[in-house]
Amino acid sequence: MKGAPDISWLALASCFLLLLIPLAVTAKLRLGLTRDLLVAVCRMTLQLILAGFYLGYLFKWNHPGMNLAWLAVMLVAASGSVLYNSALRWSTFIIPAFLALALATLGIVLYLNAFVVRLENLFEARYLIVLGGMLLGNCLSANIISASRFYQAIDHNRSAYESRLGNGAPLNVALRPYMKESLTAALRPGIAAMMTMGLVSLPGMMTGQMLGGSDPGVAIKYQIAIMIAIFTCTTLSISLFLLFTRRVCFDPQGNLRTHLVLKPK
Amino acid sequence: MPAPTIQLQDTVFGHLGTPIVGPVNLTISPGDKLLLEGPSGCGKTSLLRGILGFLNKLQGSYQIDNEEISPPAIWHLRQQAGYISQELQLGTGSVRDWLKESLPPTREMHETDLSRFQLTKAVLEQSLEDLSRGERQRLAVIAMLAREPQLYLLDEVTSALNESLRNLVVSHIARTEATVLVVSHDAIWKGCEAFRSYALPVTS
Repeated sequence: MKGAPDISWLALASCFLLLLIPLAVTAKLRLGLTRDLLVAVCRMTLQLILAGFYLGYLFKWNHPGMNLAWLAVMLVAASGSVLYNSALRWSTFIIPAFLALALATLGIVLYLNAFVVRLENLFEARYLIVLGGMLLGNCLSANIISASRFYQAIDHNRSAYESRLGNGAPLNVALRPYMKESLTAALRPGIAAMMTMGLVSLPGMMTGQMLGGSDPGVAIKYQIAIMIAIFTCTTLSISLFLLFTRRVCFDPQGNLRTHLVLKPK
Repeated sequence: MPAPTIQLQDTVFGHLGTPIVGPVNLTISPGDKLLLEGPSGCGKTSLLRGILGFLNKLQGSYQIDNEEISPPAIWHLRQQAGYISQELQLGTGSVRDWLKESLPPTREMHETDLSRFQLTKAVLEQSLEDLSRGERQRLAVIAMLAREPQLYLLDEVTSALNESLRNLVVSHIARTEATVLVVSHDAIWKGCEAFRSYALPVTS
């Protein structure tokens, strides 16, 4: 496979000139985003330079243990950011969030590596880290949406929830409407994305592969596989997350332990 | 299955260590029909929630059929209970789905269930959020009566009903052999002979 032609650092610098347009718009309309925009661009640039650096080494060493360890680092960062951006309490949820994301991501990546890409080394850096990172990145927001929605919905509708329990519903039946609401909210964007894929949007991974010199016929196969993997990973990680947290978040009588679940307002 | 005997001795119910209602001393025998009375804020609603295990027992004793309360006993009590809260939140979604989940599995919805409470079949196609308070209250009552509970815990259950429906609900409940605890500002319950009053002590 021949790679994409390199971009010189000077040529890349010329790309930053494009930012004058958003900067002009934010300044003109006084959006108050200038500072955030500049910080974000700097962070993005530095973080990616770093990523290019460590990925280069990881690909070169290609040590299974090292690759798994790196995936674990990504998982910790991912579960941390899920919680930081949600209404949920860090101390209650960090371990279940990590476990749910880890099981779902690792399970799906290994399946892809074994049965779809059919690698000899299932822990090959190029696939384990790249695919794993992609799954994680795409599961994250769905996890945030779904977990906070689930627990907030029960908290906001306490009286409806108690009515169900008080009329004899077992816990899983009483939780069903909230489960349904939070999962639909989290899964709907993924379904919408698949609906328009290839028509409205050309997905990043496929574009990247084609820029890198892959045949479009090969690129679409990877894209199809990754779309299915992302959707499955999202469903799996959310379900596991809710399953792992249920025991801690409800007392033995089925009441939501709000003080352990939600951040103080 | 007969209605349970509920015994409260110096019972204080609360949440996270903060007392909300009590101490209460009250024995409720099978078939008893009690109207809980007391000024607003004295904890009538909280007493019902405490009995159903939505608040924790902080002090004293709470026994069902002579056994101190435990989580399994609470879940068992809820299966025998019919509870309507004054907030009348039923949740979201369609009325049809809600009724299907709320009625006992062996019991189907009949048109007479609805017409008896002055509702038509059209209500089934509506969503719960679009119903008026009165319609929600009638649906909650229909689903509760269909379950034939042994223990009714009713919080302002007639507040949004017209006179004929209020009479229907009160006379039906008064005739059952079930145990009934009512919280209501509606004089119709006080006028009902089957009920005795219990004044909840005012706590500081």
